[in-house]
Amino acid sequence: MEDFSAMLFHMGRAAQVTLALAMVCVVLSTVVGLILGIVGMLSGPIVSGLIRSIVYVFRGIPILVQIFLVYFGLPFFGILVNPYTVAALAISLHISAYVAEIVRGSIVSLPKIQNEGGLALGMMPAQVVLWITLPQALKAALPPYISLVPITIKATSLASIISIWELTLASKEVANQTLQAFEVFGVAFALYFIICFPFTWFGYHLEKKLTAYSH
Amino acid sequence: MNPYLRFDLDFILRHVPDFGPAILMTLGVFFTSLVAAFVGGVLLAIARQIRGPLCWAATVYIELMRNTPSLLHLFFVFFGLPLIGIVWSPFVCGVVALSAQHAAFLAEIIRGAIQMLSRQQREAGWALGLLPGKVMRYIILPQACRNSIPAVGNQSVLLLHDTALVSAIGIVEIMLTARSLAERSAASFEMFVTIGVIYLALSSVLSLSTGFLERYYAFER
Repeated sequence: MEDFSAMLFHMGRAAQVTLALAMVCVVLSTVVGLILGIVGMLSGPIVSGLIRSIVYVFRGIPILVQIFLVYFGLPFFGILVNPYTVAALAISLHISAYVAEIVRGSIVSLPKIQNEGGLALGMMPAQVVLWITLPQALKAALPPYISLVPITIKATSLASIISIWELTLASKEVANQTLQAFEVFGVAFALYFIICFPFTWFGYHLEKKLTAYSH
Repeated sequence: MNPYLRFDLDFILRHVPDFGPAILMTLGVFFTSLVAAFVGGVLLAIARQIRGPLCWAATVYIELMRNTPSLLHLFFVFFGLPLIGIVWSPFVCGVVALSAQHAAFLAEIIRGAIQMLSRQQREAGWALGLLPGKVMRYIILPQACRNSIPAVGNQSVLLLHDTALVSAIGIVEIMLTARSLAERSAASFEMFVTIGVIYLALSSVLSLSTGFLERYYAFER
C-alpha cells in the first residue's frame, strides 16, 4: 500500500509539470492566435492571405511532427533551446492556429449590419472594430476557445516523446518499474480527467448560456 | 545560420521511395480506425437517445474518452491490457485505441446532428406507423449522418494526425519511418520537413474530399 501512495505522489508531481506546460501553452497560443486572427481580419489581402496560409499549414501538420520540426529546426538555424521551450513553442504554434481560426470565424459570422450601424453612427472604422465588432465576436468565440483548453492539456502529453517528464512519461516509467500498468494508467487517466473536465464542462455551460440568449 | 549544415535535398530525394509503404500503413491505420470509430460513434449516439442506464454509461464513456490524451490510450491498450491477458498486435492496439477515443468525438457530433433535426421528422415517422427503431434507422440517422459530414470531415483530419502517435508503439508508418531515417543520418530537420509536407498533403486531400462529399449530398432546394 505504501507503494501506491508513493506512486500517487510521484504522479501528482508529474501532473504539476503537465499543468505548468499547459498553462504556458494556453497563454502563448491565446496571445499569438488573437494577434493572427485580428490582424488577419483587419489587414489587406496580401497580409491576410499570408496569415491564412500560415494557419492552414499549422493546422494541417500533426502536433507531434511540429514538435520534431521545432526540435530539429531551431538547432538547424543555430538556435539552441531546452526541450521544454521546444514543446511549449510547438504546441502553442499549433493551438494558436486554432485560436486564430476561431477568432476569424466569429468575426466573419457577425452580421454586416453591425458594422454598418456603427459607421452610420459616425464612428471611425477603428472604433467600429474596437467597440462593436470585437466585443461581440470575442463573446461568440468564447465557448469554442474554452474547449481548446482541454485539447491543449491533452496535447502536452506528446511532449513525453521528446522525453519531457510529465504525466504521460511519468506513468509510463512507473508502469514499467512496478509492472502494474493497469492501475498506473488508471491513475493517469483519472488525473487527466480531473484536470480537463472542468474546462470541458465550463465550455458546455457557456455554449448553452450564449445560445439561449441568441435564439 | 549554422555554417556546417545545409538543407540536404539529395537525402530527401534518395529516401522518397521509403515513404511509399509508410504512407500505405498510415492510411491503413487511418481508414480502419475511421470506420470503426464511425460505427462506434453512431451506436454511442443512439445509446444517448434512449433514457436509462445505457445512456448514462454512454455519457460516462464519452466524457472519459474526450478528456484524456490519445497517447495514454495507446499506452494503456499496448502496455496495460496484456497484463490482464489481452495481447494484440501493435496494429490492432493502435486501431483499437484510436477508434475508441474518436468514437466518442464522433458520437458527440452525430448526437448534435440528431438534435438539430426537427421533432416533426420523428413525429411524421410515428404517424406513418413506424416503430421507434425504424424511425431512427430510416428517418433520423440518414439525415443526421448527412448533416454531420463537415464536422466528421474535420474530426477525421484530427484522426489522421493522431495516427502519427502509433509510432510510439512501434507501427512503422510515416512518423516512425522518418524518425528511424533521421536517427541514422544528420538530416533530421530535412526528414521532418518532408513528412510535414506529406501530412499537409494528406490533410488537404481529406478536407477537399469532405467538401466534395458535402456538395454531393447537399439538399436540392
